[in-house]
Amino acid sequence: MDLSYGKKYDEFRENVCSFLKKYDGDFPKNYGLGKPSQQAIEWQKQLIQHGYAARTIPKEYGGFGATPDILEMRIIAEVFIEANAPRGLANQGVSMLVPTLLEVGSEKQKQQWVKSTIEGETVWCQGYSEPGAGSDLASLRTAAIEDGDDFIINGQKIWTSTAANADMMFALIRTEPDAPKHQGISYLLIPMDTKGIEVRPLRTMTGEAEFNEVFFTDVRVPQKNIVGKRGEGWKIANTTLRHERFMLGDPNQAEYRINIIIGLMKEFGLAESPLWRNRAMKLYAEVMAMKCHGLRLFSDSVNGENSGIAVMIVKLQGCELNYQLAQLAIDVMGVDGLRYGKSVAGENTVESNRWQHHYMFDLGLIIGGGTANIQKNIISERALGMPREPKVGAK
Amino acid sequence: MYFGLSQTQKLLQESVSRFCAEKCPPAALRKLDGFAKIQSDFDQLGMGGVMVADEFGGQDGSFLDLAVIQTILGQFVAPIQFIGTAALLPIALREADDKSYFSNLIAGDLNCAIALEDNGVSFENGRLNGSKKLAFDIAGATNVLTNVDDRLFLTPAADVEMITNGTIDITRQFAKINFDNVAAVELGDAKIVLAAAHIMLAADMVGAADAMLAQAVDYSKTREQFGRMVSSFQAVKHMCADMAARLEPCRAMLWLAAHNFEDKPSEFIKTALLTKAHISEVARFVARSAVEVFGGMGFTDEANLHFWFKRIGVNCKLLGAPEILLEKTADIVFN
Repeated sequence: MDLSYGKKYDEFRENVCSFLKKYDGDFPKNYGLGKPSQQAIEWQKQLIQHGYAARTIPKEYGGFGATPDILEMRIIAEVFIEANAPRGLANQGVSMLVPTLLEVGSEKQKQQWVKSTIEGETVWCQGYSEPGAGSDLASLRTAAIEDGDDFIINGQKIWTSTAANADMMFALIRTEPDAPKHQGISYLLIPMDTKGIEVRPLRTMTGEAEFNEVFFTDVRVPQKNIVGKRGEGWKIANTTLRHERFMLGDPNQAEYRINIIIGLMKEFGLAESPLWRNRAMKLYAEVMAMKCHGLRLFSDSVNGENSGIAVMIVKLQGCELNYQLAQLAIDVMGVDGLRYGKSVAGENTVESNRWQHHYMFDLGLIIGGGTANIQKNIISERALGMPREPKVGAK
Repeated sequence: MYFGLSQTQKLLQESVSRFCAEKCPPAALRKLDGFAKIQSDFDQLGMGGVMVADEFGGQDGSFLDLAVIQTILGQFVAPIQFIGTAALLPIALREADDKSYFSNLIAGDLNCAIALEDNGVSFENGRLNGSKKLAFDIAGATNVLTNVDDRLFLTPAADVEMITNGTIDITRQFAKINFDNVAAVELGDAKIVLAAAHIMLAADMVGAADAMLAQAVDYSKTREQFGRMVSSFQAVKHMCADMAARLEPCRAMLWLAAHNFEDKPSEFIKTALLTKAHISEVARFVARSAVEVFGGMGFTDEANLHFWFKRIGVNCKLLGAPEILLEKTADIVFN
């Protein structure tokens, strides 16, 4: 066991720190996952120039072109978080589409899309889930019919966050109607301004429309917009889906929350109560366990070791923990934790708003990106070697 | 940056596994009069000296070395006393003036009983008086490690009265210990030694829980009902996934808590409290769930699963139930 990064990284850390110090806390606001502001785009350019965003993306595609070094990436993240500085665009185009193109895209596609995506000029949305294809994503039915050199697409996607502001969509479309379920899907790049595409906001229980539905009526897309080979879409998408799963259930978020809760307990006079102390310390222990677990996974990445079951449990345990922390925060605040909306009659709702929003949205995080019960299927099947669920309908 | 077990630690685990597989398979657990031989055979391996300093003839190992050995002992529910002698004594003796203890320890001549529960004993005019309700690892004890609040004491076992007590866990020996005006050597801070004991018990539980989950999953793959393997029922799959998912982070938690002994002493006590409290709850969940997955057979004596179930059940409470440990943690966190 050795948790230090080694001397050679101390200098690297100092360099990152001095870069941020120059800005004296004056960082762009309103970063988000949608259309970046002009401020954010300028910031992103600065970051790429210094290698703090798009670090390992090859120079020829607009990136910094550094050799992948997980410790460097980690140090950048640590320093930026410590300084409360925005860490570079992390939207779906950057985190999912670009890695996919770099891995299996054609040279032309890489030239066309990587640079503009990482610079924030092209915004992407993900067209995967459908009303009839959630957990069973492979059963998706949005389909393409060949027409000359084009596809004509009809169908519907759901849960497409950022569709309203997106320039492009990377989508899973059924292009091979006669092929078996998992082999009939292709990965297609679709311009969102194409005639026949309609975006409708999807309001969730939070009251906001964080997501959208996207309807396709005879949408014409060139066949050359396909990434990889026809019928390989499922395989391609799975690599990036695995990456998404690992992003959710962040142990840093859990530690952040429990520290706030300890402050809230003091503020609300519960710090001496054995009942509340017990409940809080139980979660404190869970946070410690997940933090240690995160360190272990990090070490595995650094040292090129296979994490096996350890990586499969992150989303399940992490999302549940974050949710329980939100519930505890609300409970600690009592009636003051229930207020939602604008501050009224001098009662500040900033804190309660935050936790009430988590109480709703975090349940969505447990369900989305692979719901808890699917995670349990995966763990029992792939880690414990128990029999797979019976497959109905796959030819 | 490396967060994991070293090659040496993995080899330690392998050699202890080989020993336990040969010397104390489940059948051996039914022959109580064979335990002393298993213990002395184990003592021959010289693992008692793992954490003793090089200058005293020890292997200069780390506390994590001991914790990983203990996980294997838990995995095999081995009737082997290791915690007091190999972990607690070397830590306690670091501050002691009399270093002769170390050579006795290396020679395998010391066997330390653990009487570290809260309360029960007072220390006045150089003498201990009172009793500890349930000391453990008392078989063949030469010494007793005990505490009065945060003060740590060592006494010869011959000077105290031991009244053997049984628990459901027959793989370990327990006794009520009466101190009647007993002279004792005062050592350092009892909280540190107690923390070490917490981590060793947590390590024991991780190993035992691993074994229970593995046995339950394996059994489910052989047991057929309603025309298919019990392992194919989703409810059973999910119970096993739950056990595995809760248990896995415990591994990393244990390693870090043990590593803190050398690496972050200021955090050692707090992380030990959290580790034992948390792992007790997880292990207890695994224990009952694994027996359920194992079904009616899991409930029998013949299936042997109960040895692990009982070991975990007792460990949960030894040296502080989760509620008590978490309350002690709250004291640290809120102040």
